[in-house]
Amino acid sequence: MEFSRTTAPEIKTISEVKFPSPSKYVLDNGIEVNAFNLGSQDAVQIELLFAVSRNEGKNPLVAKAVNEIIGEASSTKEPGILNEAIDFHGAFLESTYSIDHSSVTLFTLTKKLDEVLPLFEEVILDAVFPAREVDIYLTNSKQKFTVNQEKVDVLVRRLFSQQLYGDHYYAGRTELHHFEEITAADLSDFYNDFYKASNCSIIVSGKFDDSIFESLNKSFGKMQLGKKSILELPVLNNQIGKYFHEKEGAIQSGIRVGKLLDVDYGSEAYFKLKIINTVFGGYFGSRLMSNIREDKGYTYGIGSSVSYMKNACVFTIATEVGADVTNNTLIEIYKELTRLSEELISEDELSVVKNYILGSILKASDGAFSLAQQFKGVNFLGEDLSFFQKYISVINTVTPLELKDVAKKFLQPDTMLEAIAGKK
Amino acid sequence: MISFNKFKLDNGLTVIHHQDDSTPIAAFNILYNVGAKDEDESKTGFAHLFEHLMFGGSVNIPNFDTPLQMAGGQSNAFTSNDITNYYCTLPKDNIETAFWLDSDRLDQLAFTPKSLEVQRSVVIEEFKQRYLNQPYGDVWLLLRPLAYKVHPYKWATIGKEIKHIEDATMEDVKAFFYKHYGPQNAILCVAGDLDLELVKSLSEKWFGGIDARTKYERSLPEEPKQDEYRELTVERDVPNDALYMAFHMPERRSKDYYVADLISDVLSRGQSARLYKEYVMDNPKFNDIHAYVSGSMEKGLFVFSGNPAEGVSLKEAQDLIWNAIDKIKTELVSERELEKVKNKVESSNVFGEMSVLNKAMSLCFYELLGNAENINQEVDKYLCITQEDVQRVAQEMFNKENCSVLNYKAKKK
Repeated sequence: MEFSRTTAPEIKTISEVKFPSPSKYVLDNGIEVNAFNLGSQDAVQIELLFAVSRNEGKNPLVAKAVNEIIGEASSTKEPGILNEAIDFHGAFLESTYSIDHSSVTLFTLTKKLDEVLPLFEEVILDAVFPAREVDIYLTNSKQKFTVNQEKVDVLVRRLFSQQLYGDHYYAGRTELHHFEEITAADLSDFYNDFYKASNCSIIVSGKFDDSIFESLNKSFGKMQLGKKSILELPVLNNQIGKYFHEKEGAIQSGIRVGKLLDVDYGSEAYFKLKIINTVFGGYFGSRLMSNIREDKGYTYGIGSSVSYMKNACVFTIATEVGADVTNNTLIEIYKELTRLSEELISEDELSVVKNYILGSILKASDGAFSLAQQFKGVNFLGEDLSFFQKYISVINTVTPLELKDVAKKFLQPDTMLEAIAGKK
Repeated sequence: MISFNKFKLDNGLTVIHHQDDSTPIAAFNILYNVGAKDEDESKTGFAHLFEHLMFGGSVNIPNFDTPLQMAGGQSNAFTSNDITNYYCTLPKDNIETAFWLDSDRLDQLAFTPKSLEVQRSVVIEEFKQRYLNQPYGDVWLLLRPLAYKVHPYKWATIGKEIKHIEDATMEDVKAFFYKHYGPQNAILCVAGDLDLELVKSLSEKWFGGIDARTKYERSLPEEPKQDEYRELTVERDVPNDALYMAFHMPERRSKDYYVADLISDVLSRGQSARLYKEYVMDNPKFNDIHAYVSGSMEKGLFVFSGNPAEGVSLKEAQDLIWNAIDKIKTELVSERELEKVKNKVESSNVFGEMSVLNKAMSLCFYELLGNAENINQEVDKYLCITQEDVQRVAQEMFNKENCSVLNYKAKKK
């Protein structure tokens, strides 16, 4: 067979990606259920999402502690009983927590759903926070916290957030004394106020039959409305400056460079920023990786991201590099940032990036669980899955000149905040 | 149940095809039967360094990733003590791009000096980032040589020391390639909505012309049965003490491997598992405690690891773990407890079969273990385990003379 190894096989460019819309159902108390019923495996995932700000807690630990302890005990079951019962059916719970939301997800085989759902209901509706278990939790998380304070990537993330967000609760600012200051009652109060219907939505994905909606209504349609969490508290102006936290004995330094972006979620400028970010530091072939890892060998990995939260959109460059090349790395980072607003991206480079992103979007559409994750992300910020169609149309039409203009407007090196933890 | 087809090319390459019409994404996974255990003791870290070099361009294609990204794909790889595994996912219509790229690097790497120099630095930074600049990062660098005296499992995949990576030469790299990267030493799995005939013809087209290389006959020194209690105490600049206890366990293909794995589930899977329930919640002596198996192909390790709570000495922590061990050795695990961990095995198997990439990786791994067909008997091997099996294997495995202890002490400030 005659063929050339030097010529790439023909490729098909992705022009569209189908994102099936979820079927919707509303529980008696108004909780919205979005369902993706397209699994090929007999398994189901039910996520209860509570749109609750960490700021509602008495201190920065409360929301996370509630999220991690929930399921331990109920008003009628001693600690550990519920966990054992859920484990027994081969099911498991996963708690996830961010600054603006808390969620608890049940994973189970579909055939066990009838046995497991009442247990899940008890976890969510009837949780208690016994003082003894809360104390154990706090002691253990305090230990993890002290271990984390030894890691340069944790230290630098902390330094960066504190300087970028100032007094805003996004700054985090968890300190050792917070572990001493909270009580079981603080957790109960937070749970009783906010793990309630007015903050709750449900996403179901996997393979199931329509009777699941009736079951969900029976379990969660009676959840009280509770107190609505206030999520809007816009972050103030972008901060600039250079900050350094020295860590004795560090052989690598953690680096964060970034800024707040004043851009609307789902707007054309936002999508263009996502595309430039991919060029810059968003995939393996990115400029940061090509230059700082694949040419200079300064690091195991470097990347950048544009992430949108309820109250801020933030651009971040993150890496850990050999302490001796900390300054050289910064020089290269700024050099690459400058190029974005001074040079046009070549058509070749841009077409690789476009195809790469389209491939990633296709992958994101693959399977019920992945769709549920994508839906959760966009829905939380007020969009639906048509978000991806808008993104695809920007990808298909954007030009190097438009990207350069967006970089000029948003990504000038002198508008960045720089944080370093380690040695230099 | 995963159905698949399997065929072999004349040059010895094994190809597995799995059809899944539920996804627009195809997975292309190629496993090489080479890992850190195949290294020379004076040149460790090599299998992993080599994995990095596989992305540094091949003889006809200067850059591996760019054409793949152009085709909407992504790729990565990992190295263990046993295997080196490379994978791509991409839109199924572009599957030929993966065949082109991966066959070319198997045919011949470019071996550019620049690639070696850069990847050497990258791997050294990886060594620092993951093993040296992290609290407790060097645990496995200490525990392995304590538990293994002869078998090459005594060094970690990243290598024994940075110096070995610094010293690697181009001759070493080339020799390693020709020794281990032949078609007969590889297993390819292509999974997705693709016909068998297409996968057959693409395999033949891209891989068929690559010559078989001299077959590498592995002959590793067997680890003698441990017959002494070993204990190592180190002091490090960390906030809290940590304890590690390792026992040699049955090899991957034996029935008792599954029993040992299930024992680790009884002890440590989920919050209702024994160690967490007893020592973190009921009688809080540990901040955190786990038991797990190393999962390696040859005789691996069953490991307990824990962070004792404040005021609990490492000696007391050891005694507590021995108490948990005595209990599983002397009392039969309850029927409910056994059923619970079996149910977990069954459900995690279903969740594990959701992604086409997971399936492709597993098929290659089971083929390496003996036969890809075994992937469908895996759950049954757990389900037939009895209460007596659990007790017997615990009794055989958990003995002082089979135990290596690492006391990782926090330096007093």
